[in-house]
Amino acid sequence: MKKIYFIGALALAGMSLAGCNDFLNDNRFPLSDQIENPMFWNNGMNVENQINTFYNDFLGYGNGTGSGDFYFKTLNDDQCGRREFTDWTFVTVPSSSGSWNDPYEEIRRANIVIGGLANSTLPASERDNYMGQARLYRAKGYFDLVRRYGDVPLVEKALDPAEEAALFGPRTPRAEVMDFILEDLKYAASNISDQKNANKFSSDLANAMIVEVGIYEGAYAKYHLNDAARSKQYYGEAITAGEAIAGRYPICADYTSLYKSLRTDGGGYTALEKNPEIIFMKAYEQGVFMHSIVDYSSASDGIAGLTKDAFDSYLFIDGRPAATTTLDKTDAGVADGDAALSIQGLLDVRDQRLAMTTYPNVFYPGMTWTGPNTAAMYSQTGYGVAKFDNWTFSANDAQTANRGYNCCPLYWGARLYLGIAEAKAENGTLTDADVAKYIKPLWDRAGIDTSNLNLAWLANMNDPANDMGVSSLIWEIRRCRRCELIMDDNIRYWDLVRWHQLDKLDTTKNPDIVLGANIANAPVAYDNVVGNYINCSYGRTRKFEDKYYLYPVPGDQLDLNEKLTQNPGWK
Amino acid sequence: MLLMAGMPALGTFQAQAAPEPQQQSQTVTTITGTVLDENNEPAIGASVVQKGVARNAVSTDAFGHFTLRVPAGAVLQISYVGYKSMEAVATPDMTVYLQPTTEMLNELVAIGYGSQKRANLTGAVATVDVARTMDSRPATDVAKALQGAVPGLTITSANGSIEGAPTINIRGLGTLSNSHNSAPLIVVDGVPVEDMSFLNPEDIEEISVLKDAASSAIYGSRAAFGVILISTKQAAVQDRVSVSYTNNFAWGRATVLPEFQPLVQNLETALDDTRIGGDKEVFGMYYEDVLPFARAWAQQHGGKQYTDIVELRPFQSWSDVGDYWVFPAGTNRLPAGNSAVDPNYIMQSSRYLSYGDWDISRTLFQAAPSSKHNVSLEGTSGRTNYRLSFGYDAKEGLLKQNPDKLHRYMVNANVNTEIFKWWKAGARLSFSDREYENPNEQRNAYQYMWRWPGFFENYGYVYDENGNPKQFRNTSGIRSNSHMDKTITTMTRMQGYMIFNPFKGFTLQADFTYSLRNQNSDSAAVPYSLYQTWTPGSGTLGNYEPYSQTTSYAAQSNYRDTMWTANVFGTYAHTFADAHNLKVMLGWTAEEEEYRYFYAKRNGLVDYNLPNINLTNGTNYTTSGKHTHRATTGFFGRINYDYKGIYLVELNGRYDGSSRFPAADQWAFFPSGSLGYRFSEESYFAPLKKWWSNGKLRASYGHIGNEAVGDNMFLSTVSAMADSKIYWLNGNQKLVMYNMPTLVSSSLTWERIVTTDVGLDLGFLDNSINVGFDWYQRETKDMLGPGAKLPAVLGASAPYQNAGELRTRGWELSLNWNHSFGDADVYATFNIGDARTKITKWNNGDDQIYSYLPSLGNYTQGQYFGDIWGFETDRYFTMDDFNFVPGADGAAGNYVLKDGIPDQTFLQTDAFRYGPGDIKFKDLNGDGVINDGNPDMIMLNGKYFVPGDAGYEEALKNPNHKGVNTRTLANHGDLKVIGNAMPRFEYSFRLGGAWKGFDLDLFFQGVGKRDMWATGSTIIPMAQSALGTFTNMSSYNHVTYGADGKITDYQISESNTYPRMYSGAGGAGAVGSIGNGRYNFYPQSRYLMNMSYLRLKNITFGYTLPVELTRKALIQKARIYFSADNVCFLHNGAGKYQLDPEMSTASGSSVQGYNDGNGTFGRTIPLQRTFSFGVQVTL
Repeated sequence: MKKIYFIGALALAGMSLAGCNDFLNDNRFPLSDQIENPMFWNNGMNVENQINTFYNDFLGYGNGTGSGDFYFKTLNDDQCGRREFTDWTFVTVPSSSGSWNDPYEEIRRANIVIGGLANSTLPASERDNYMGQARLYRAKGYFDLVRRYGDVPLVEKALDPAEEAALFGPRTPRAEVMDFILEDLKYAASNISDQKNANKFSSDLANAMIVEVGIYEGAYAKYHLNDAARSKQYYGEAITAGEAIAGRYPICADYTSLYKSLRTDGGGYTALEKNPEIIFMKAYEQGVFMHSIVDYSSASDGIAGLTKDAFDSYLFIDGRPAATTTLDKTDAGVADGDAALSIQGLLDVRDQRLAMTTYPNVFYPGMTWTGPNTAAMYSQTGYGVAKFDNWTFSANDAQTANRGYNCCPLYWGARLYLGIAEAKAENGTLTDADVAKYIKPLWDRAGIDTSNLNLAWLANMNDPANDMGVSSLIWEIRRCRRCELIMDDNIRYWDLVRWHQLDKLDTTKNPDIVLGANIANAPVAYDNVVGNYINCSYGRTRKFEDKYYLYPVPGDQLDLNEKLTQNPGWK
Repeated sequence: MLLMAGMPALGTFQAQAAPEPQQQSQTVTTITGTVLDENNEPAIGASVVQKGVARNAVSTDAFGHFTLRVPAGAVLQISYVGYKSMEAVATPDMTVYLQPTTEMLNELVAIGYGSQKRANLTGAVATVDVARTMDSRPATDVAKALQGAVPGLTITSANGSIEGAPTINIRGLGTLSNSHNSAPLIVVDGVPVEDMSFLNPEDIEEISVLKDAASSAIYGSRAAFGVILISTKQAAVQDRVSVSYTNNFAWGRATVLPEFQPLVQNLETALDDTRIGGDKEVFGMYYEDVLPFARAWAQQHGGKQYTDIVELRPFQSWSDVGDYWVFPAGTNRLPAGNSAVDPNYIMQSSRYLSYGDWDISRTLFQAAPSSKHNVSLEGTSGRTNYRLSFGYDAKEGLLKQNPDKLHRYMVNANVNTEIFKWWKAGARLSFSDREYENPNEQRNAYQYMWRWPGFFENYGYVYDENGNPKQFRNTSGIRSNSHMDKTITTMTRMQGYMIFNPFKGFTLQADFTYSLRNQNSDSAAVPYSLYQTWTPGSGTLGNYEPYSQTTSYAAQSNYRDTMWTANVFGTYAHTFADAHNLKVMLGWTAEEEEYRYFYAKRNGLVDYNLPNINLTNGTNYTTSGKHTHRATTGFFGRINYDYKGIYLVELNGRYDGSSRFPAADQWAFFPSGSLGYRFSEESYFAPLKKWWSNGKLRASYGHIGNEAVGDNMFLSTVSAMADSKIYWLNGNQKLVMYNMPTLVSSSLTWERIVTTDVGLDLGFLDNSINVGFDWYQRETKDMLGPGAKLPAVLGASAPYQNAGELRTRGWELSLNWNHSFGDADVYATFNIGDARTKITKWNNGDDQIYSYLPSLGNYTQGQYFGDIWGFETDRYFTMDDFNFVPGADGAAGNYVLKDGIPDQTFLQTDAFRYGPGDIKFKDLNGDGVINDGNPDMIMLNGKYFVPGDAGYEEALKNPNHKGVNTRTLANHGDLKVIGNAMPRFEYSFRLGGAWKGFDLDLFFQGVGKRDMWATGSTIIPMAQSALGTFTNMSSYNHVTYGADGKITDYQISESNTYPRMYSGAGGAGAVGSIGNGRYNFYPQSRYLMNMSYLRLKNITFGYTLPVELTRKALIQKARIYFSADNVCFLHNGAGKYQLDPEMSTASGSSVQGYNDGNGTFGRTIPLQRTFSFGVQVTL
């Protein structure tokens, strides 16, 4: 009898043992955490939510108290400040850098989605749509990398730490990466299901991005590589993609509405997403998600203002530059009542975009000015920045960080038109019809006389200020681009890079880029001047060297991967 | 026969009278007597034998009584297990006091799945003297009572919370993964439990601490960092029902409380910080305005502070300043000459100053009462034994207003029965209910109580327009208005077991345990209003206006944690040829745990008197939940062999599987073994035995796996992105975004803990002196840590891998001595242990250096865990160190360091500049600069160069040179390791004795060495601007500057405790990643806190009523006692820090105070000193 019990107990124990492995593995997976596995990617909502994270990468006016890509990027010839005076992004090789690391993180994110979708059971159309969005985003990551570093390692899938060959691989030639970017964007353009969507990735956005990539690579091939064929090809891609969508984005009537509109109707404007020109935008909402651009660009402690160089770049309303205009071309404002220097007269005769970008008064350390909804403020150059301030905001909203809620355009008609016009002009295919289609609406909106405007007018303008060694036509298109898109999305810096004109940022060769307003008639004296112009250099200089066309590869990456090489000129 | 853990030997007594024919030649009388043990408890079942007449013997009964017929003058021999045999001449009504035997070598010690004779132990196993650590003193928390009980066991409490559980470690830190979780496994009656808080100390029979791998390995996957083995009291065969009752009543006060400087000095000290621009103020109360009032107030109150909440009086005149002063409308600064004060202004939506001064400790703190009661019942019915116990205890917190409260109810039942001779079965049931109530203040009382001096938050009241007294916004006012949140935790544990003895030498045991922990928590915020001194922003004066706590919400959370455990194991023991003892054990265990959690919160209470989640209608609500599970299983075996008890061998093996790892890496085998040599049993040793009674050498080595490496470490999970990191809208709401799936290592496996232990046990003078010593090394291999850095093209940081290593080395020594002098027994024990943990492998790029805790998760290979980096303080700068350089054009000049004095410019941040009276650091590397490394250092082929070194220029030209980051092991400038935050040389000693019913026990506990760098406001004056200063901060350097920047007056002395005042020094300076502190308070040797201490942890004095007396009331034993905890301590920092040295956490900070920019270190619940008395009665 004893034995029966004994054997019974043992049998019981033995039976329990048999189930051990299942018992452990059944418990391996958490019940309240989402696991990344094939099932994950079969759920469209998961894919969507993963893709949504991509939007975070578009800074626009900034996030909360952070700075954005509009106004805040001051490494250009348009803006100068005291704190914001910007030397080259890198003057020494950094030990590590987000400029290198961050895009790869974004690329990994895209590659994970792409890899996950590959075996997803989602309907093909839905899958292709998501795939298109992920590839659009991956293209953006690589475009950021190539512009900064030239050749970069090309990673086409989310890597595992064990994949050492890819992890420790060499840099891929930039041309190959650019081709890869173009391929991704073309895929996106033909697979994203939304054609138009102001707030989300759309096929039109993919085309708009092809225009950006096209004019970048077109110019780079032409002015850096002397590769006419490649230049023509990429400018051609820009033209094709741009013309395919341009008709859907007519130029709106009010330049300021692009920058000051809110998410919904109100604040003196209709909602930005209803603006016919908007291809893609970043929305802000009061109390939910806001920015600080209004606060920073109307600050009481010194705004990074417009430079003399930028001010002088605008045409007069007769469609002529200073050299040939018959209008009053003085740049000295007049004393206007108590401690104010008015430039209203100057603005009246210039391209009206200038009047919409700066204030009718000059203000500087020692002579502050109170704007429509601001306290006394001053600009380091004398010219304030009015472009991004919606004056219906309360003073508190206008002067407090993280209280601004006007929306930011990211891709829009003007930007698109200028890309198409430039590509056509560079490829020599710009016609009078094109000028009428892509340039004239911008001039009209800027209040410039367009009665003479045609191809010949532009080609024969021959502004002596043209210091880029390009034809009058190209110069005028570049001028229009600069004035239209001033302080927007860090466009100017990358334009100078692709045009091979980065030496324009050398303050010793181009002193006007650290000068501000003419304050000869100012009621309050200011001793920090060069001649009559406010001096914004504060003794600082920025010297150009060829190496600045590319960022240095961060030291830690070179240490980790001996196949990586440093960019020329950097040590 | 092997005795199972938790199955102590049943008494071998039987009351057998031995009627024996007596020799007629002698007068035979019947005598009675009582046998008592050293605690004056009856010795039940002691054997009493007439010397020389073995058959004339009896056993004592449950009262320790015996009756025996013996001839006059006969000598009785009394013996009792665990006690020295003794002889006494038989006399009527005699009382015999037994002395515990010091021969404890035959005592059975609980070990994993069994027990072992102490003499035959080969691993590092320590037993807790339960009688002395718990039974005779009013412990309610088992874990806290274990502090200092055995060497190598570290129990630390972050603060004095009545609710908090202490941290337990055996032999120091075992792993850096999983938030340093290297807690030992706690096994109660053979089955693991998650925490000990549900245990009633009164139910504990025995505690063993298994310290090395060889001892704990048998418990496998969760026992990597040692095991605490607890057996509860069992039912034993009784000849009657025995009932015992104990109680205790205690009052506790804070051991140490900070003490603010009186208000006048507080203001003066703050105003001595003359260098920071702007006026000194708290929310618009300017210190220089407050000062004249404070002086007058102090004078009018004879220098005494208020000690209670009082009615505030307005200013009357300068000879009767009242407690507050109201500004005339439209003004907010004191007019010149303080003259234009109109006593008729009343506090009515006007701005005002307050200047009453309060003694915080008396105003806010109480003597916290606590009590406990316990009843237990034991008996036997047929072949079934039972033991039941019921316990209740209640505790209260230290704050006067709405103190937090803890109630516990505990029930325990043990039943066992013998079904057949060879088949026993039993069950254990325990239930505990723990209810904790705490006001929902929505801010931390201690954080604010020690923030500003008492005047600011005004511990007073005024009458509102309806004539009702209204308090101010302060700890007292808020607590008395807050909702009492309640958390109820219940634990139910049911265990059934069977033991079979099918044939001689073999035992098979099977048990199954199910436990359920359930917690329900209700919290709510109800609106109320108080008057306040706060206004938004600084520079505006306090308004006398209602402070409205307008938030109203109800929240509820619940968790349910269920676990089942099954064990089946068999043991076979046999002795061959009377010399070879062999014991083999084989078994299987499995365990599964499931955890479910739910939380919901919604705002908008419908009825403030019914704060229930169902009675809310707000639109703002939160819900969350969690559901996890895990499982482990393992097979284990052990072989013990000894040859005549001289040569001892033990081998263990365990094959473990855990659900925490990928299927392919789930199983691992962990072997261990130990050897012992009892040289004292060798024949050659016999001559020494007279004085050297025991000697044993032991050595053990073993591997154990650790599976507790954290959740989801090998699973790629996707989580929702935090709302604050979402930068895109979907309509007027934020878009939903997911974080990137985590990158995890595909091959993650067990951490492997390898322990080597060498020990020596010695006994002298019939084992009245025992010495035990252990040396050990514990290596944590394959420790989870960051993988080697990978190129950024990966797009994610390298996942955690089994890539780290840790090594702990230490030693432990214990001594104990017992002796009897006639009726008096005395004893003394001493324990000490030390361990240091070195991080032997950790990927951290270029060996960046980090101090203890600046950010958990960053460590430096080659450093000891807990190392604190900082500067060495040299002295104060004096006038002689500087040259005065006048300013140009009438501007103020400044003081410039003379040549040859090391430059501290690198450390200057913000507007702070080092000048006379400030801290001067030592230039340890002699480069003339005080910094955290040379920014120009380069490396070429493993050699380091700085500018000026021979070969620097050449190395610089070599394209292969590399820059060397500062604050790295290769380049740390003048930083050095100034201390270590881990407790070292932890020791304890116990002195005590008993004499004629009186017993006295003194328990001392201490830490020999421990440092801490903290930026708390009790350590660094004004760590944040406007923080109150404490009485330890009255001595500091004064320097007065004239308008031209020249010093007009100064008093700088090395004997001053502090340098010149400069507020805000608690923040991060130029070496922030090393630890907070800046200006004069960079982490440095001078203000490093010395946390070593020696404390009289407990003193207990008891008296047991003579049995002769109590017997008449049918009482077996009655004892009354007085006990005091944390009576006093010696502390190097006493007076200097105003903190209890055992305190380790700051309130209001998630990190342990170390890197705490808000100066909150020490602003937490103080530890208690308690005085208590109680009775223990056994019927």
